[in-house]
Amino acid sequence: MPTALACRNLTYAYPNGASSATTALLRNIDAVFPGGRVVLISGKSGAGKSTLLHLLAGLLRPTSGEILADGQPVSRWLTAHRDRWRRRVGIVFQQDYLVSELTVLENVMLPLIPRSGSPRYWRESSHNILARLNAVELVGQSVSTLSGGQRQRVATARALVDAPDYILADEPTAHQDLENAQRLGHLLRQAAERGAIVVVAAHDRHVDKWLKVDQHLSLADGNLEPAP
Amino acid sequence: MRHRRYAQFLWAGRELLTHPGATLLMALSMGLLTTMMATGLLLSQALTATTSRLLDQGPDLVVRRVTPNGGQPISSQAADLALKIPGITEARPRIWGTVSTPQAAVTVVAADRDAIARLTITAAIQAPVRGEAVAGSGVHLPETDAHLVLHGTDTITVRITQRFPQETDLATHDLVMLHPDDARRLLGLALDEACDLALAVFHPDEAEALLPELARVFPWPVHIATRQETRKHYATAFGRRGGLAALLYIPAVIALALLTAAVIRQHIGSRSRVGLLKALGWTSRDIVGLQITKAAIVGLPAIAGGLMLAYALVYAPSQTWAGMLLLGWQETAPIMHLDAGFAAPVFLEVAGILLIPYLAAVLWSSLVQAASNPHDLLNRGN
Repeated sequence: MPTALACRNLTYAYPNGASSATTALLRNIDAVFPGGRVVLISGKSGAGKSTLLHLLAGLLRPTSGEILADGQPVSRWLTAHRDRWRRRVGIVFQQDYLVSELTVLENVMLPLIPRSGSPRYWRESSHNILARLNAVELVGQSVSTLSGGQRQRVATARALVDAPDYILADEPTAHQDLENAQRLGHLLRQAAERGAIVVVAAHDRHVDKWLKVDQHLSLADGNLEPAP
Repeated sequence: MRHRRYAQFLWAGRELLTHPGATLLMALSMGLLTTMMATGLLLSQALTATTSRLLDQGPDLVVRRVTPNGGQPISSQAADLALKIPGITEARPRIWGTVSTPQAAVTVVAADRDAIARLTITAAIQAPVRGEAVAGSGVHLPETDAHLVLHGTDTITVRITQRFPQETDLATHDLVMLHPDDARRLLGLALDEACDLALAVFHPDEAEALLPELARVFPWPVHIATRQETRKHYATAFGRRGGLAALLYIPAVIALALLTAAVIRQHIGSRSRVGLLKALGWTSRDIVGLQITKAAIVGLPAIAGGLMLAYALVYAPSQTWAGMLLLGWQETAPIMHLDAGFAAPVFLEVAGILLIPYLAAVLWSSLVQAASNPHDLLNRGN
């Protein structure tokens, strides 16, 4: 199990239109996300929460500074090495990015396919996680027929299907009712109890109704601070 | 490891089924292009092999009398003149020519014991009597009777009493064997005249050395064809046809390249799909492996099928499509001689020409996408 995921002096800037100037979205962030804890990052839309999660997942390289996983500089690794490390990461995107040509079950299977296991194992694992997210009745359906909330639950199941060590969830309950949000909160808490690092980004003020948070950070003006 | 590969093979098949139309189109295009290329090359090779085999059974030298106005009949006594030259072991005057029937042109030959021995493997053929004939499988008759009308210098009608055996089709396909008197009448030859003189020599490799002496021994100008010359003539003709056919492939190959690019794009899916797979823990190697597996699932059976179809078009008995399309044959094609030494390189060549660029295109586009930053792929989409 991982001990910690950390940002050290992390800065991310994006190009500002056609000029050579850049705009810094994240500035010199230092933070540690310890194993076995649920960390909430809140902030307004556009504050950089999704970008921070992408940086933590190794999907994006920082402009400066680094991401450390168990003390290893993930952000400086070669692509192939980072790709392999990412097998330990489960990420829930703000957009669901479901593959419309595949069924619900096949979408959930996607992270398992390049790893070990038989098609039977893929099916059983996917079935299991969908059941825990109250989405087992969707198994054979095409994702194009799902509602927004259902799609989000399928995308969440896809992120959690292989019991990842690092769980990064971006607005995972934006379209969920309270009951389903609580189910998800329970699953994330269970993952933390088995030692996973759980980082949830949300601008929802009522997160405490569905998720028991160990640490609450606020992202504003490019800085990550403990929430008041 | 094997279990994992098997599972990923199944997944690649499943992904292909998400675009069944594009997959089928790609397979059909590759299969048809393979058939086109392989048919042209196989036909050219088969003709060369068949001709070579026929020529091996034919005479070492053929002497024809020539005048400024063209060929002239040769006197039967010419054989005696030729046999005076040391090294010539056999001289046989031949009566043959091309005449027309209501259906198509045929080759007629006067029956003699030697001709029958050369043209038949089994001894089942009897020399025809006057008014009768033996015909090859490509000589068609009216459905109502067995009589064949032949138009040459004269017109005669003969009754087909026998057919050459199937195994002799290489040499007898459009052949009609007549009694010598019928053949002379049809071709306008006098009793002691023949069309040419077929010679056998003691050392076939040294046949060309006899040409000057042969030219001197006859009292009239002659044209002497050696087996090597004839072989070269046919090889050049087939090679030229093959080269012209190859030009036809250029647009087809360009079309395939464009189609491949379009289908690969669809097979790989949008850039966001690749970005998603990478975000979900697929390595570049996994993604490239999946695409190569998908390409192989489509390409290998398509190419194998295309090669089998080409093989059938060229070598299946009575198959006429290849000859009609590429050589303009109007009649049933002869059975081609299959030479594995010729056909195997053609198969490998065609498979290589198509498969290597196809797999290279898949590999390249997969690598380019797989090496990209997943965040960019996800956000920029298509």
